[in-house]
Amino acid sequence: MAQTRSVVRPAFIRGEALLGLAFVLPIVVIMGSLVFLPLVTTVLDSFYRIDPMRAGQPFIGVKNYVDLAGDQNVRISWGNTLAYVVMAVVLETLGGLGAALLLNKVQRGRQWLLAAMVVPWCLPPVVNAIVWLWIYNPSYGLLNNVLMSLGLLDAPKVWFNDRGTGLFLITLVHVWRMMPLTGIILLAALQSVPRELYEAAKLDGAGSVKAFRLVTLPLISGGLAIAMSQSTVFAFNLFDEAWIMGGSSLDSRSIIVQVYLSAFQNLRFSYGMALSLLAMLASLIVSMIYVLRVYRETRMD
Amino acid sequence: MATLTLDRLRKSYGPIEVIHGLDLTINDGEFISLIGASGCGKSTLLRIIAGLEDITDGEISLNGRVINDVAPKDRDIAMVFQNYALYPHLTVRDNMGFSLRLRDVPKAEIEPAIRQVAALLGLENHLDRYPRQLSGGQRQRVAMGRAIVRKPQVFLFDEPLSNLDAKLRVQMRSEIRSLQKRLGTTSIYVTHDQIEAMTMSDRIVVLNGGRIEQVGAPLDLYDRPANLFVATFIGSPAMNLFDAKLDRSGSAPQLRLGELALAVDAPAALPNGADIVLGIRPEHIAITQAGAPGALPVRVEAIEPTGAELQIYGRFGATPVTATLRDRPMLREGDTIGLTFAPAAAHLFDKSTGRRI
Repeated sequence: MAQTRSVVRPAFIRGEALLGLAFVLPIVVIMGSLVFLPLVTTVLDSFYRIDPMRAGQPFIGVKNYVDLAGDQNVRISWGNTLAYVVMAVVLETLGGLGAALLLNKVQRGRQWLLAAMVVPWCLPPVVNAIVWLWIYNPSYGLLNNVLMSLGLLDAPKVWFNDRGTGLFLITLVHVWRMMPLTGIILLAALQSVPRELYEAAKLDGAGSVKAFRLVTLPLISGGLAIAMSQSTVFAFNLFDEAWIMGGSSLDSRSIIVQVYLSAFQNLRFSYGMALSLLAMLASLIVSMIYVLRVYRETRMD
Repeated sequence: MATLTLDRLRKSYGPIEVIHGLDLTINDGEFISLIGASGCGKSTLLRIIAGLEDITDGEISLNGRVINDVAPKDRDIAMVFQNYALYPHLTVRDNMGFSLRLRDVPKAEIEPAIRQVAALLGLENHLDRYPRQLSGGQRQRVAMGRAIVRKPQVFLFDEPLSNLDAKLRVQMRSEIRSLQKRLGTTSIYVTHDQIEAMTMSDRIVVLNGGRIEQVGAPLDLYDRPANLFVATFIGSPAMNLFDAKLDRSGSAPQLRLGELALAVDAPAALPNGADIVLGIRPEHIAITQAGAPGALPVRVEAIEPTGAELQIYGRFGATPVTATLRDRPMLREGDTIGLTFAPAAAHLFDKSTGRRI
């Protein structure tokens, strides 16, 4: 009996393991060929000089990275991206949390409101940016018209003349598009908090502010970390809005726009690769901070 | 020290009224159970007292002060929820100290208060654990501890034992009762389990469809149910009911039930031929041979031994009959037996009103 089992079981396990392998194979192939392989070749290529305008592809070590550190345009782009990330994450999180809290209170027609809220997120980023470009237009734009008819502005303003204002307005367009996702993630988190906990908190003597701070916030922190990570990653990768509204202007140039300019306008391929790797690392590190922090603080079921 | 009074209390959800003008006074230190089938309004009533639901009309007062518009957090009432509602992100210590922290009690006072209550409930060794690390019974105790540590005016319990297994339920039942006696805090306990209500309460409120059917001490409800609803609700298996008629043709009024004639003390208002419901509890029935004088013939349909007792299910004509016997007569399904009871054990109800005669 024991013997037959010892003979039968490994065969059975082998069969099951094979089946398991077959199941994971497609995703391994897709991820491997479309994500990991390109990532590895990008890392390797970033140590070579790859430039179609120059002969040969010599190994140059970390020269690309050293050059990047000294590149004035890259430094300004990092500054712009940092501004985008900070403003976008703050605005998306606060706005998304507000929207989620409101939607969580709505009893009837929530699905319709939710659908309406999601629309900007479904819009292609380029379309979204072009619509907003019209709104911001100095001569016929909606923003100038509204402000002037309200008497808040005397003459039309060219919004992108000021670097700070330009960065803020571009961030706003990005926030407009991405906030729904944050809102939906946080709404899901809010709905997973049992109603009895709020009732218990009420009876324990908590007003709405304290109940939010001591019960709601800790219990949605998992969702908050996910929402903030995705906000961070998408803000680091901000391209469409900056490119459509600011083009190659250094005042609004994000790090990904800089990657595009280096690689495909100046045709310094490996230089662009090195920069894109740094951008990826930066967004990874920042979002890791939230995730680890939240993971440490909320080890519950 | 708290007396709670409900005066002509009404509660509607839109056009649907769920509590219809309810009056109840709960005395200081009393343990009172609200019992009734699902949807009878018992949980709603508890939530109204907690302040989690508004009332549509009437008054609710605590120690003579009307608290209709007082927020839950200012009522000084603690509640133990059915699923405990422990804060999952806080340790047992922080769960129990939550309300004290919110009330800005100094830290130096919170810790001893928690320790004292934890000792009372046997939770001293679990203070640093999270709710998810505790068993159902321990969570139940933490929920109680969270209520006790505040020293509130009133405890509310919303079916607190329904998530525990049978053995633990029996144990917690007596623990809660003895704890409440020691603390002397006015307590309102919602349950659908009549055994819990009978064993724990000073008084029981039987609710049905948003109205009070009867309020009384547990044995009063059992011995003198005020109406047919209470008669069949309290006691398990439920009381047997027989349709009978009042006969005033003789010198003294009699109750006619098949061949049986029982002398009764009927009020003069009841006319000859009035429909009477005769109730007799299964445990007050004795069996004898079929055809014995004064016995109701019953055909046995099923026999269930429960160990200590024997449940016999049968029919008198079309009326189902249950008898609980402590001895073990030789019976088989299909037998016809005679059924007798002491006249004093019979409960009589006016069929038209359902009220006790």
